Amino acid sequence: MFRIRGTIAVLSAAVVLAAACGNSPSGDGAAPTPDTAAPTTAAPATTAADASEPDAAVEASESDASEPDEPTEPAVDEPASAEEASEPEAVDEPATAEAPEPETDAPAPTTTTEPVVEEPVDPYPHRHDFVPLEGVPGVTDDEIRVAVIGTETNNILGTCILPCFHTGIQAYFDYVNDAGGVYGRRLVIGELLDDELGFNQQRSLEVIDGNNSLAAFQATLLPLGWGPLNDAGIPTFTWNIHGAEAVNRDNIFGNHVIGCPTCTIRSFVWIVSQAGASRVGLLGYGVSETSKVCTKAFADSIDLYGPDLGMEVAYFNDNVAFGLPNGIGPEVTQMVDAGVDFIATCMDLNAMLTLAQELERQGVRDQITLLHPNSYDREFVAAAGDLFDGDYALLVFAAFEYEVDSPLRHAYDQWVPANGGPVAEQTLVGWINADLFVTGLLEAGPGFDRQSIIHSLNQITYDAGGLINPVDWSRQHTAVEPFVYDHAYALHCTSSVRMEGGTFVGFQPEPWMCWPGDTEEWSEPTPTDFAG
Amino acid sequence: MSGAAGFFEDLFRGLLQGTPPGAVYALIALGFVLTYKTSGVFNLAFGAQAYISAAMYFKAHTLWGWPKWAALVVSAFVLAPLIGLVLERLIFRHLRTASAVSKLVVALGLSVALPELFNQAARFTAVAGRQITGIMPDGSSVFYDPFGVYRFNRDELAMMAVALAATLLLAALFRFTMIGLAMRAVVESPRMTELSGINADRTSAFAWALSSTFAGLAGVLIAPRFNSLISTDFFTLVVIAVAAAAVGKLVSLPRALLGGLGLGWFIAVFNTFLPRWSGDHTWLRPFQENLTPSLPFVVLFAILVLWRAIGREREASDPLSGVDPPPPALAALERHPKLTLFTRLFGVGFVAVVGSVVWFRAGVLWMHLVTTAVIMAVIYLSVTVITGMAGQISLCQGTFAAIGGFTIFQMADRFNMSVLAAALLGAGVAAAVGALLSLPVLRLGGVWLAIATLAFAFFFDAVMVKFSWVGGGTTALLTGTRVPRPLVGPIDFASDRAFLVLAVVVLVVVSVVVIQLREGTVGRTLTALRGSEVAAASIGISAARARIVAFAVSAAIAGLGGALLSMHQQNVNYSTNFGPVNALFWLVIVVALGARTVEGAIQAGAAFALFEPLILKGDLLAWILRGDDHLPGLFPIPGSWRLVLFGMMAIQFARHPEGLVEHGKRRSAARINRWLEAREGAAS
Repeated sequence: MFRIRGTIAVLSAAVVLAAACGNSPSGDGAAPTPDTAAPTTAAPATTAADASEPDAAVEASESDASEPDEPTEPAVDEPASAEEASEPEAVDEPATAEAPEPETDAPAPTTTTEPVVEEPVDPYPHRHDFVPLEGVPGVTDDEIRVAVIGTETNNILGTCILPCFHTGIQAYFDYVNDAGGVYGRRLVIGELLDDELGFNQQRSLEVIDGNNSLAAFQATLLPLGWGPLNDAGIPTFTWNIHGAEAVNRDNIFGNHVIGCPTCTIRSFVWIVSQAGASRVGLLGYGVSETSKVCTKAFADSIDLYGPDLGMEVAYFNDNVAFGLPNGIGPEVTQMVDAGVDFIATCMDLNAMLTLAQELERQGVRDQITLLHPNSYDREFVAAAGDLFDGDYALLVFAAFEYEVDSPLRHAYDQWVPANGGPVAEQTLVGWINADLFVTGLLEAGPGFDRQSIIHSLNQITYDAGGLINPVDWSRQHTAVEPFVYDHAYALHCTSSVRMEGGTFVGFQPEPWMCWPGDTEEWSEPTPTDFAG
Repeated sequence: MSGAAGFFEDLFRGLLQGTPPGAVYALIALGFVLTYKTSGVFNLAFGAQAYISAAMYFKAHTLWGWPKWAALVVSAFVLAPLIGLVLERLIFRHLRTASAVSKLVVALGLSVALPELFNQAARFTAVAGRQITGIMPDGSSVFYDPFGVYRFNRDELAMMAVALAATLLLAALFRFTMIGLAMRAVVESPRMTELSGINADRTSAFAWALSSTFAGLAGVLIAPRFNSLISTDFFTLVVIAVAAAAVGKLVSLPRALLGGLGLGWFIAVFNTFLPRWSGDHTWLRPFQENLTPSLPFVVLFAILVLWRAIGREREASDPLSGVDPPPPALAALERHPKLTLFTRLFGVGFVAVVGSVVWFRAGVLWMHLVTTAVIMAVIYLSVTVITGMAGQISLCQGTFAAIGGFTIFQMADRFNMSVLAAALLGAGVAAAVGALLSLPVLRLGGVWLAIATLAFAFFFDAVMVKFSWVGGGTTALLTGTRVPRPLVGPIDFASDRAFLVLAVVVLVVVSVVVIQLREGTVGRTLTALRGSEVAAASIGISAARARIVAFAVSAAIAGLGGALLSMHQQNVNYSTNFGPVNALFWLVIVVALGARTVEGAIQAGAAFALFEPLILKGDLLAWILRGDDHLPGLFPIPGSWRLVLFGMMAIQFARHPEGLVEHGKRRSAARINRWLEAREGAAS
């Protein structure tokens, strides 16, 4: 009994002590402070003014508070000439693809901050200026080394993640190196780390600990290492399917951003109208908060715009079991009973196959159109034959089926196949991430370091030569609820394709269909080509 | 159509829709019962065996292009029985007289190890969009509509036919054949069976080959229902099917069939009508939203808790099943005092050296790994209490840890509470949940207690985590479940070194608490209960109170550890850290190394965090060889091998329930004791 009393006494003292403690303000794990300045209603008039004055929006954004220190200019002893820089010393190189003929001499990573000019002018004339740098991790006189981390082993989705992501980055690096590299240095993937699904944090810490990489690239299913990389000040370029892990982290960049997870989605409603449907069924996974939110956003969109467009939500279920171990028969039956003629899901491509097969079983496949959020995989759709005929896929990048007159797209079409990679989403994500990284390097100037790259990127708007909806990195690291324009895309856009005969077919007049980002009012979309 | 007619048509359609998944549950339940009847093993590795055959079939047919019949023969009728024979010969033959709990732990170890072993050996991985095809030609695209309301495809018809035929054949095997009788006899008493002139080894081997063939067949038949082949899906299905097997009390094949079908029907009818009713009656909507994904686990939990015959089953079949021999005394209590002194000095010196190296030399990676090891040791001390001291198998320790993590997330996010105070609050909440959980499952004990706790873990995973006051809410949506580090006066634990000190302090405090408990009244009571619950009750010991205390304390420790882990990672990271299947590995690694001692928990924590980088990645060998360049080509070994190695080590639990480390200590202590005694004898 004495032991128990003693133990209780010690524990009680610990409780009292702990109650008197506080929480560390450092680190991004700190409880977020509500933005009292943020409006609580959607799209107020003032945000429209902000939209026309991007600089004002930048000033007003929260990113000021966490703005990195001004980059220090390194001592420039003797800038080397471009000629010298284009002939770097021989170094151990990973195997690279045989260089195809590039269409342009100098790859031009693209931003929309540059003025539009009639003649093609290299926005970065200093791209080959060599400046000796000391103390910059991953940078030698010959090389700029980066780390690539991703999921290959134990990939439960079975899709090509790390290998394709890596191929996209390597192809881009080959493309740049073939044109002389950057600042007289070759771009090299120094560390390629498979996180085996559960070791992302450990692999990221290996990169931090080794301090041999200037930047990190991440394509993972469990992004436990994004926080440490951000805290370590390492510019990190991601396959950004994990919006919550990237939000409020100024060193994390991606192929797109999720600025407003619960905002209504006009592109979705537009797809429903393109299908000529009126009664919509919605399905999402119960196990995934992201999937549930996505499903709810679809429902909110129909609720908001549907009455005017003759649409309504006829079935809603955001509690479907992941993996569909019990099939999806009862749900489909209920949707058929409810007269559903369009089903949108927030589920993976494997689930879409199961759903389509169940629709076929119940004899309604040709009466119901599906919207696929994650099925943009040519092999997958080809293997399904005509099962998906008439369905739509919604993308966050310009679909390959649309002509994008951009040097970046043309180079991708050449260099990725030359590296043995498929023309597919994940290689494109790697390619775009690599271009964003190089853009940061070029923006930072020849005396670059990690901080200056981050600082430079966080001042520009980037559109990957029209391959993605432009991201204003000065304000779009932040996500807020409810919607405010300050942290959302300037334009809300989609690039959608239809499935026919086991292939994808473009049906939009331009790669993108866009709506104004400063309002949630319904309007017909504007065909847009960001590369034009 | 009138309302009543529509209702009955919907009901009938629901029943038809529930029949294929019901047949799935029935198939697994039949295999489960078959294994239990023929080996006495509560075979949670059944799903792993089914997975291997399904993956082999997929690889042979879909990837290699073999004909379906050839792929089926190799995967279900060659590979599956071969695995069964190997398991019987190497493992279960030696466990025939072991306790049911020991066999359960061995099966758990296999369920962790076997899928990874196959994946690594066969280089198998899931392939997106390429589902496994059933055994029938055009199995998924040719439909039959016998009643005009629902169409079955060929594969489903084949599956239902196999389930029915298997029930009839297996029932006939046990009822009418000598081999069936012999298989049951071997489970009851191998020695008596041998005396009757039956070769128990051969009979047991046949039983394992048969039950494993059934697992393989079930795996191949079931696989087309999955989007992609993932071993955890098969494990989850087994957990669901246990409810069907429980209907037959693990011995009745027809009742297992009915249990499986009934479960499928119930879920389908529930899913058909509840959404409709909740549209009319909004108060039903929370039930519909939350019960739909968790229904199988709720049913399983309800069967175990509410059906009193389950708890009485073991007494009815085996009067000695509740009487285990008392565990051997700890090595530290038996060894020579000089050896104890030397061991402690060595331990202190080792910790001092390692601590110094970590403190002065470790970078961010190793600081993180060592801190993780310390925190996992805290969590594993919860297993020490519930399994090592109380002799109970709890498979929801991850859930208790998650409660601690979510508590600090919610308290810090909503009330800006100190995370240290929130961690203690989380431990308290976990203790309360643990105590409440122990009330309905108290009478179960043994394997049923383990399954009940597993069902609770899956229920928490399917339902509770999504509530805004647990793991959801606006903040979680926007920025995830991030949590801050604590701040105590001038000490900011955002520093990794400072946080390591905090973790070590917590480990020391919890270790002292556990030792106090073990050596105090509670520990002695639990030891008495482990020996014989009846004898303990006869001297006035309240089994109920002791188990509630054990559950509560164990849950509190897990909750505290979970909170600490969340602070360390600055995020709860529920699915990575605390998911029900992930947490199974915790039990496996602790029982493999030593569930009865604090040292065992610490060693398990170190193994969890450091085995992969030190051993598998080759850092230790590289350090010995003075550089990565000298490492053999097989390094780095994939991290998944740790699941294989520790899973395999767990199969030693039946022989050495004290754990391999404690067993090693006992052996070396005995050897040194003999040497010391001989030396002292010679001197005198």
